[in-house]
Amino acid sequence: MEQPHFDVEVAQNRYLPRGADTVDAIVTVTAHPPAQELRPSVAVVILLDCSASMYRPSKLAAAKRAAHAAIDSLRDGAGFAIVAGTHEATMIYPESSELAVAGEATRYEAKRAVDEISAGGGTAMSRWLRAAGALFAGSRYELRHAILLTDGRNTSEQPEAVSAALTELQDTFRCDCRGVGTDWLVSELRQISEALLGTVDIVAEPDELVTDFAAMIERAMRKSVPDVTLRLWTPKEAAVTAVRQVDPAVLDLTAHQENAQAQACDYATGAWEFETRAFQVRIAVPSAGVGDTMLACRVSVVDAAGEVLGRGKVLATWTDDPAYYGALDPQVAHYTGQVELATAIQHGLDARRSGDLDTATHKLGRAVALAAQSEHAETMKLLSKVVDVEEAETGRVRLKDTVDELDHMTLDTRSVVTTRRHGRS
Amino acid sequence: MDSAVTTTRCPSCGELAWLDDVFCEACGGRIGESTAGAVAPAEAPAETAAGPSEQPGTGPRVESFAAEPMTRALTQWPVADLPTRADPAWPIADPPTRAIPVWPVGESPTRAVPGGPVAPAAPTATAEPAWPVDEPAPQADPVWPGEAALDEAPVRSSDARSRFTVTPVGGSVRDGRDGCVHCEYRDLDEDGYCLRCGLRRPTGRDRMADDLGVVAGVSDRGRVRESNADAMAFGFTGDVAQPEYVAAVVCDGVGSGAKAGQAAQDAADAGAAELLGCLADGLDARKASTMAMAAAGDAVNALADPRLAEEDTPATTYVSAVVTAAEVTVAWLGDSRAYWVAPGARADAPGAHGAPGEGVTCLTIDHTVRNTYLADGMRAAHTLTRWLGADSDGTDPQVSTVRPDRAGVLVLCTDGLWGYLDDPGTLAAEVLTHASAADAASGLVRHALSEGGRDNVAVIAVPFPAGRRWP
Repeated sequence: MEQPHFDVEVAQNRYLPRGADTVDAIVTVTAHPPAQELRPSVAVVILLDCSASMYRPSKLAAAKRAAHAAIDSLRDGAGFAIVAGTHEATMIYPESSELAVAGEATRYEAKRAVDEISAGGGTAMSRWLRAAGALFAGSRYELRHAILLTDGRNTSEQPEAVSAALTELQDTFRCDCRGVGTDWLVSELRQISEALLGTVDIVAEPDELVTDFAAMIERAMRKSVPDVTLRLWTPKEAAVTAVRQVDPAVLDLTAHQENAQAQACDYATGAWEFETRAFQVRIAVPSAGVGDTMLACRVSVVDAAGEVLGRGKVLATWTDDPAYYGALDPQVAHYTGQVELATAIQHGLDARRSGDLDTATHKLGRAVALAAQSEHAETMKLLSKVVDVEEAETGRVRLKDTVDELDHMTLDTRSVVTTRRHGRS
Repeated sequence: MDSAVTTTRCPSCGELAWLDDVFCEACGGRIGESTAGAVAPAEAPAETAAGPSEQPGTGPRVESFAAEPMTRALTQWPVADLPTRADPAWPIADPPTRAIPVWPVGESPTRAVPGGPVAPAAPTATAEPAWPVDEPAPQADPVWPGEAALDEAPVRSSDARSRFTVTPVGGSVRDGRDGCVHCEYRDLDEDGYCLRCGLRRPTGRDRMADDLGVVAGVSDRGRVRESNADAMAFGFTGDVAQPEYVAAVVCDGVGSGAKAGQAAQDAADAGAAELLGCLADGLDARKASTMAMAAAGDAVNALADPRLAEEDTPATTYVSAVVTAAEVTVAWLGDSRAYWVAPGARADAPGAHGAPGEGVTCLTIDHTVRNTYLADGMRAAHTLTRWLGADSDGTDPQVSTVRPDRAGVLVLCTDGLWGYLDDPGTLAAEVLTHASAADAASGLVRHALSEGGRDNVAVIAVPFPAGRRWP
């Protein structure tokens, strides 16, 4: 039987000056999933915002068409459910609180049920998420994927309600979030997608929802290794201080630690298809003697059963030679820059929103410089809709007088999307 | 050096000397007014037929030194300017006691500039004794090396080598012990990383160890230096159950880098092989020690390369020991040391005393400028005045023989260890609490590492009488 296996590559600044106690590494993981027939069972729950704001016919109609496309993309045997989200969560299909099994008949019935949806009521996303959690919890599907679609803000409950639900539901299923139009809050959906290891994106035109939903479902169907964790072993006196995914998008995993033991802890990464992701790992180590080499971290990729699917090592060697400890690893430098880029964009946009134009100009200028340096064309394009770039390399920019809200939110939403290092050494 | 200090010339040989010096560093001749009890410098080359000294004044010096009682002289050997805790240049947490001179291990020993002004090692009348006169000095040289001369080149039997056992040439580069040398955890991963502290098992010269039962040694790169320029070699003649002689050599390569390590290892290997060969041939321990030193010197000089810069020319310190059922003979050049360790013991040699009740005696006297200058209350770098190799003043060692009155342990070590022995009790405690020579040696190395490991360290432990396993 073919087992999935994972290639683990470590890029790092291995050489440290005397007395240094921090090791940074970029761990690049590539999954090699098993053959088609061994793929795990999958279930999808679609959470459709049906609050009053969706009433505008074009929005609701587009959401229904998107749901149709999603249902059509389900492969036979997949579990699924459609939930209408308002100030409460209502089952659309099936009527009972359990997952349906995709087939010709259920797909047809589900689409009929979607057509009956009408808009009205408030928005309480924690209830939607809990409903999805309950549906998955009562099932035996290995891959659990939710899609949340909204057009507005979470107005029917306190923010703490979402935080509490996310703490409870963290790592039990993946949730991709989509915002339609410009009336929703990037921060609200980002909070959900980060806790549930999904993505967040903006859908400018309701009509784009159809292709986006179909693509998300197809992507979920391709996931073939469920519940992969990154297990980080460290020496007794050392500790992992930060873990974040940096490719394809910045996603802080530090809070996703679980199963902590004396010298090892696991970080959930969700389900994998044939794909490559990169992680930034920071370890605090006790400084050793000059010339000593320490295994600062052993990285294992572990499946749900505890089987090790791939390994890598992060080393540290202390030296007095600046030629060694002064050399920056290009991969580490690149992703450190990408993380800074995402942060600069978010802080710059926040400052712009709150009227602090000096900070906004400075931060967005820095972002332009970083995007230019890393040849991040997509982000550069989005930045140029918010600022006029005078000199990209040095980050000299002017804020545009008027910025389309859609451009502001698109830049914010996609600030976390990183680029890979371009072929320069 | 303070520019106010004025210099003079030795009337005998014309060598530059300090105005208030009593004896000339080069020839040992008297320069100024002698003071009562003031006597010889710590060092004087052995007079050997094999290597007649070309220095002027060699002959009379030996006589004049012999006229003075060594013990009396050495009680006035001051160690006045040892750094204290308040001294910012002092890198070790605890100040040393007076009992054993300690220098900051972070400094690399350097060689004295040949021909430069080097003061003789005599106390002056004005120098305040560093400790009460009735308290014995820690370092004493009870036996003058003149009698170690060889009358003729010895005839060596061809099968000598088959009659002794010695550590492999190049050193035992793998520590045969299981587990982590850093934290003593049992399990290492497939690449030699400790599964507890994460540190990798040392490779190559970074950690060397060997255990022949009747003698064992450990050498470690330390925690600061990038390579290990300390070396050791040891062995025994006859059967391991009843060896006639146990012999050991420790060397500390001068400078850093591969060349220094090579010089030290070649000297240790050549010295130990020659020492054991001579002993197997029936030469007495003192003659064998001198022969071995000459062989070690040849080995170091063979590495010399005229294209190298002066500071890169190979050189090393050297200390050897021969242990029999009745005697311990040590020979040395430089600042690597031999200690006698026994519970409450004192060897029968004149002037060889440890701190009261602690049973630790240093059998060697460092050949350093510091030892030389201490008499004048001057500060001095830890600079060797004698060594093996390039620009050295010959290979005639200082040789000392003692007849201990009880069982004990002889410890040979480099400054990487003794720099951390600010309390002689530490040495006694480390040695006497272990159950074997190997454990004692690795325990002492661990002590040096835990105190900072600022220098390479090499330690050999030889139980006395020869062949004794452990108490």
